[in-house]
Amino acid sequence: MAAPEDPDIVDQIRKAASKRVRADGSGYESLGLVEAGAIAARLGRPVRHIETAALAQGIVPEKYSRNLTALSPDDQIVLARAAVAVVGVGGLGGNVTEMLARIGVGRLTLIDADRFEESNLNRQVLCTPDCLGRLKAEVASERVATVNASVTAIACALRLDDTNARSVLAGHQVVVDCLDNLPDRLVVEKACRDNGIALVSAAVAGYCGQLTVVFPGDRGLGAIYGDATGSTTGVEAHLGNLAFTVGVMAGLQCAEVINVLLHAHSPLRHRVLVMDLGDATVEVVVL
Amino acid sequence: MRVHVQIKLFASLGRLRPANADHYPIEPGTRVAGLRDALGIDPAQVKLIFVNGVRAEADQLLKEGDRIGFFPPVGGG
Repeated sequence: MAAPEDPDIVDQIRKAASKRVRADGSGYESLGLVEAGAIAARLGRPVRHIETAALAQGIVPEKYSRNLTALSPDDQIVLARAAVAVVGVGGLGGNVTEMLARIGVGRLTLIDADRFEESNLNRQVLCTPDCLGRLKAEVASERVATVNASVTAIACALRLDDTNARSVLAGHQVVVDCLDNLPDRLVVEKACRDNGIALVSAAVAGYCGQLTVVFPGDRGLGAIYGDATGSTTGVEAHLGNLAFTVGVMAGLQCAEVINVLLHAHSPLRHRVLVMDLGDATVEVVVL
Repeated sequence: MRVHVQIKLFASLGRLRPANADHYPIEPGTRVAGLRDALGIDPAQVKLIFVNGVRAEADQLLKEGDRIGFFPPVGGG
């Protein structure tokens, strides 16, 4: 990790930075993509180290300039140093991956054993006709590299089960449950509990979705699904999954990932947000 | 003297929605389970029921003006 006080790095960043003005008239110091890349090349360091060193000086990588002031430069550093696992990179997970890469979460582990199928095209942002048959985890990691090269994306093309989930998920601050069946969700929840990791879990069916955040020791998904799930799928097996429903729920998931990373807190802990876009119902229920 | 409650049925349960769901009459003393059964909801299918924004058990008594939501298991991603 680049030390913020490293005089060589700081000197070069200051020389390359420029003053910019936001739409509200307030100013900030900006470091462009090309300039950050040039400094990284000269010093033989990863671009993300240059960007973190700039942020420590209050200089904002221009690609993150619209994250401010909702996020502070210090928040942006926290995100850059964070590791998040996205379990399932289909409908929810594809959108989550895209958003977390753009906002600047430093390390994303993208876990999915499946390959893209034609029926994914209606809602999965990472699915295009030319990637049918390819591993979702690989396509997702390539997308992250394209969107934001400062983010380390690790493709993990496997299905989590009781033998591997704990070790695969260890080391992450947050796990995002974007799975498509109930038993796998419970496997991931248990692994998070065992690892002491917060879980941001969403599920969709048709116009409807649900979202909750589970911290280790919480009752968790049992409060929603009951303690014994007889079925492997929910009502989505009949209702299908719609692009706008997964988009909305994925956005809500990302907001909670950021809440947990920055504040170690979520307004959806011990609560579930339920949504029906058919009549614009959104309700937060105390569990 | 009947009391009236408001009912919201999510996802696949929407097909069971009565026309008067926003002002649905029940007998005083009706519990969550009684309303669920009257609506024709399979108890094995719905684990998440809430009253006025708080998760409810099947034996909870309902009162005038309560808002009751039934949410089926949803697992898609």
